[in-house]
Amino acid sequence: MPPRIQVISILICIFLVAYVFELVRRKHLSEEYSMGWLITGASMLALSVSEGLLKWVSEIVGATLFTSTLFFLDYYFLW
Amino acid sequence: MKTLRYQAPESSLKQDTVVILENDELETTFIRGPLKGHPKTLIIIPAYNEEKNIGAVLESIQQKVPEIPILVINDGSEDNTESVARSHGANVISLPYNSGYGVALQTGFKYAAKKNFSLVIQMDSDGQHDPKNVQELIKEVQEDGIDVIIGSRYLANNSYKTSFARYIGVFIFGKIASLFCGQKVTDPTSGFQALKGKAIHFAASDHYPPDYPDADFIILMHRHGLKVKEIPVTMHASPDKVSMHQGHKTIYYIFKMFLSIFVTVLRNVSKR
Repeated sequence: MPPRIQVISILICIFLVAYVFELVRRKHLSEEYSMGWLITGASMLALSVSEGLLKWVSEIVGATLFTSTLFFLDYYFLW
Repeated sequence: MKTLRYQAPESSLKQDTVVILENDELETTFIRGPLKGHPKTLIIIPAYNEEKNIGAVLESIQQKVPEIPILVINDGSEDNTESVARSHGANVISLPYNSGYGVALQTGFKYAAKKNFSLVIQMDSDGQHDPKNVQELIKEVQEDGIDVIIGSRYLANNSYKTSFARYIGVFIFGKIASLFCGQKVTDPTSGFQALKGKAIHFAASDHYPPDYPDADFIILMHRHGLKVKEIPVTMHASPDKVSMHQGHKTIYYIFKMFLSIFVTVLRNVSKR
């Protein structure tokens, strides 16, 4: 994954996790419904940080582009 | 937290029926009233599908503390919990659907706050809690400066056997609660508690966790200036041996409790 994409991906994931925490803290989102968002955000962050892990997951799901694997998690969560 | 509105059919209304009306007015007539000179005390018991146990629990309480009225919050049970509770002389609020332990408990606190009860004992409906400890809870909570008494199974010599998973959970969350409260908390999951005055109104407020009010609520009370104390109590194994923290709920419970404690310590507070 190109370094620029990796950095942007990491920043987006950090923002997502921090934003969900803030919503829970402000009681705009209950703990119950934050679970899916936080797990997805943390998983995407782990994949963004570790290229080896991203490559391994990409091979499992059959994705040729690493960014597709990150989007796959999004789709899975929305589903 | 959502306000529960439930209008029972006219035909089902009886004198001792508690009804939550559209305007949130609660009406009830207790079979037994408080003794003169005693604080206005209420025992609240959330119950979900407890028709097998609730009768014995109510009889046991009535033997030990007959002067204290009992309010059972029937949490959308699919069995005869409501009718069994009524037949044993308890007052009942029936929620229209299963809303969870925290919501059922808070319904009791909202009722107590609205009816100006000055002391509330919360107990479980499965027979785990021994009513012989109720008087001790009442005595201890009436001490100056104390707002909440928690009955701890780990401070007494109980025959109660804790599962390994529960023990680990209690240990970890007890340590975390102890750290943030600056005092030893041995049983953050205990549902055998006595609350008085402002603690009742606090539990009836939007601060109350809607699903599992455990270590996070103890920390929250401490941060809001409420004084919590533990005393040893007798606890028995649940006859059905079914915990609300079993199966996939355990994972959610651990996640929720860590998250809830984390955001609780980050939230702004206003001490009384």
